Amino acid sequence: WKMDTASTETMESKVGKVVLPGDTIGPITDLRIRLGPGLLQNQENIVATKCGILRNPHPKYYWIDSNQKRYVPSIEDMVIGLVTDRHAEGFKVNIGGAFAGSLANLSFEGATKKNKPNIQIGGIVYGRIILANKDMEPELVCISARNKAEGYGELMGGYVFQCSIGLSYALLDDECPILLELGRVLPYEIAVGMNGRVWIKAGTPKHTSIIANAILNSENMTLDQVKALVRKLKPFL
Amino acid sequence: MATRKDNRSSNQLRSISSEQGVLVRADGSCRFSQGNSQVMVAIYGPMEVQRQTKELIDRAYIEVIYKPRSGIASPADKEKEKYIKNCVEAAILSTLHPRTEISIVVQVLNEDGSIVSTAVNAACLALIDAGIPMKNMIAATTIAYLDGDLILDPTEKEEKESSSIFTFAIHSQSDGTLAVRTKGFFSEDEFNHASEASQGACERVFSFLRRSLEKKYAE
Repeated sequence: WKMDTASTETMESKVGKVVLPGDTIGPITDLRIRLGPGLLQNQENIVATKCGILRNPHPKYYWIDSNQKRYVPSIEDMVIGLVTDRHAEGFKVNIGGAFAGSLANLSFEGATKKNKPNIQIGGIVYGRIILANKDMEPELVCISARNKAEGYGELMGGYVFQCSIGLSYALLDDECPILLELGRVLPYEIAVGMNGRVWIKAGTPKHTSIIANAILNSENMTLDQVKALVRKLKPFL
Repeated sequence: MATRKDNRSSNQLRSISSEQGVLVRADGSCRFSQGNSQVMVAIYGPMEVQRQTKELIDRAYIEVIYKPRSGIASPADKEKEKYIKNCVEAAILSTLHPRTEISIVVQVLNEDGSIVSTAVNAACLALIDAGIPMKNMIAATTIAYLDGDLILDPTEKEEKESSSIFTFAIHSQSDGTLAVRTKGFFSEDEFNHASEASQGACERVFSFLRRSLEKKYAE
């Protein structure tokens, strides 16, 4: 892995610009910075491993903003899983990564050895990844850090669809335009998994279908385009 | 230097175009063309290994499938698969995804010479589209000797009349050749000249890749 010759450009000059895999972002000048997705340390330099825009909103954190469809499990991610198997100790859950995750029976609020969760194969769960490294099978729990459910657990009814990882991150924003605009015109319940899966529950199948399509189409839209989209949908509700 | 049938000079590449994210069901995809040679590459992965015996405990298993425009893959196509695999393995950070498989499917849409270098360039863009972590980018060009003249990016007609054809791949973070495949008779001098010419040609491919990716991500 050849070292880039002395890079005179600092990291700051590349922030907000598109970087390509192999690009040297800059020499490490401050050891207290944290490298997020898409960045790796190569001896004294920081190198990009993905294509995207370099972000640095906080002096300590650097990462590459990029989008992909395939989920790679990461610790503390909130994900939507599909139960594929049950055994004595827990469940095997499909979270969309290369490997199935394991969810222990006791990782639910109020669960004891006598009181196990009654989730069937094919059930949908909203969980939190507690173990994710490249060599081990990922593990998730349906309980918050304070040992309360707080939204985690089985999702009853509703409809799950897939989207890109980037879109699921955008949906988790407090000011997500499409979700706010849709909420103005019809009531619905939503759970967003950072593994590119979205669960919605609305009054009728027609509303469910409209919401799902609206969310998928809103991926690269500006606020004005989103408003126009919802305005066009109103007569069909 | 004599101009070629399509009025190009000897060191002129055909026009390149690419489009990423064309296949909805693939994790990453790219349709890439050099002149009339067009290739579509689909990337699946990192996912569970399809054939258990291929699983590697410390890295991802990379599989390349090359499909010609018509008919089934021949032994010559298997050699192309091996070459493309050698090129991408140098770029992909496979140790970040042990016990998984990254599947690269190359479908030739139209064949008009320099097809393997088109495939390598397409694979690089498709891998980026899929978000597979890479330590560098790869670019390839095809060079041929036709009537004693060195020409870049030959068409199918030119390849048929050439005495030797070389496909050079280089990667963006290192000088020299990453992988080369050859066909025909050539001297050591001819090989060295071709190798030198490939460096400049691949630089042009890299700047195309960079420009198209910058345009894609521009806000």
